[in-house]
Amino acid sequence: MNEDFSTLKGNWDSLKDKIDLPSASAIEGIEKKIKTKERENYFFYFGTIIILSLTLIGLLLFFNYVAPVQEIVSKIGAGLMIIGLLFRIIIEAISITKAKRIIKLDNTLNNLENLIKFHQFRKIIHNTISPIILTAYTIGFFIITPEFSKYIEFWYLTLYCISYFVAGIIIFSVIRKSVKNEMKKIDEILSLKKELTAQ
Amino acid sequence: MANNKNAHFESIYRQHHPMVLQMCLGFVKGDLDTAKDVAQEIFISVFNNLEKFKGASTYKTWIYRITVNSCLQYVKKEKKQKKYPITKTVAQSATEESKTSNSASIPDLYKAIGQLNKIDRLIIMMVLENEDYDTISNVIGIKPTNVRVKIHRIKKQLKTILNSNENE
Repeated sequence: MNEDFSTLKGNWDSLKDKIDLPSASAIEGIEKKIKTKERENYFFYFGTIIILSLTLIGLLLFFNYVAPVQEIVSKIGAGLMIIGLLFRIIIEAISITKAKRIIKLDNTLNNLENLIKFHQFRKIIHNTISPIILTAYTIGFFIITPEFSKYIEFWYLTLYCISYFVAGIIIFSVIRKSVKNEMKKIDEILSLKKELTAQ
Repeated sequence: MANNKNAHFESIYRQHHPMVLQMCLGFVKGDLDTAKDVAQEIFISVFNNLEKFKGASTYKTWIYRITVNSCLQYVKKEKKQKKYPITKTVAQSATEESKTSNSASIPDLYKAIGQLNKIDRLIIMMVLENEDYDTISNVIGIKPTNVRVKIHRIKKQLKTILNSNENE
């Protein structure tokens, strides 16, 4: 077997000799790619937080300047909507911190274990936390509706409620898809870990 | 400071690029385009983590860790988009070359490595790179005794694959 393996090793080495040494343009290319990747990573990590924060600012401005609700129940509703969004932003920030802890400098076993923990956390976000936030947001939304109905025409109010349901269905299907996606990732990583630790 | 980092990176890149690209080629069954993409991801990680290198191991061992983790994660990410498209592979290139030179066994090597499971592919390529049990153990995070048992099994499996490929 050792003789066979020596032949294999010889083939491996001869194949390596055929690989060209990187040219100056290849190095320049990778330096450009590093800069592009930095920008992409920034948006990948902070894109969701930026969008959620802008929505939160919009909501705060709306309740402060456009439609300052007067009734206590409506104020509770607005509070639920705002707290729900704020909580989602905090969860996203925690998720980014956890993602950044997965570094490729770890050994394979640690890396796989960290990946499993991260995707399990993401699964909890999609499976449990997001529906709770969505429910709180929905309760808040409908608590405000009676006060809104005093100032908005019936047809606008109906449209307003229907559009919320449509958005809710879309969000629900996105959450479901995300849970499935995380579960698939966890299964794949678990099977890699099994391969690694098996004799 | 930035210039120093760039110069340092360039020297690491020149020295280790062939090893990294070859491991990627072995991992993706000779698909040159995919291997180049993975190698690029690996060197981006090398550049971004250069300050974290403490000298506890050699650069080669350090790069192995990034290579192994990147290969496993990259394929996981890419699998949704494409399942190794039939582009011009190194295996094909080598077959073309073999018409004029004596390198007919090279495509068989990639084919055979590609038939192993993902972790085994990476381990056997480190063995082909002459790495010892301790280094491989340090990279993948299992005990050297387990690495030895694994390598013995992978070599046997690889021999079976090569023999059956020869008979086809």
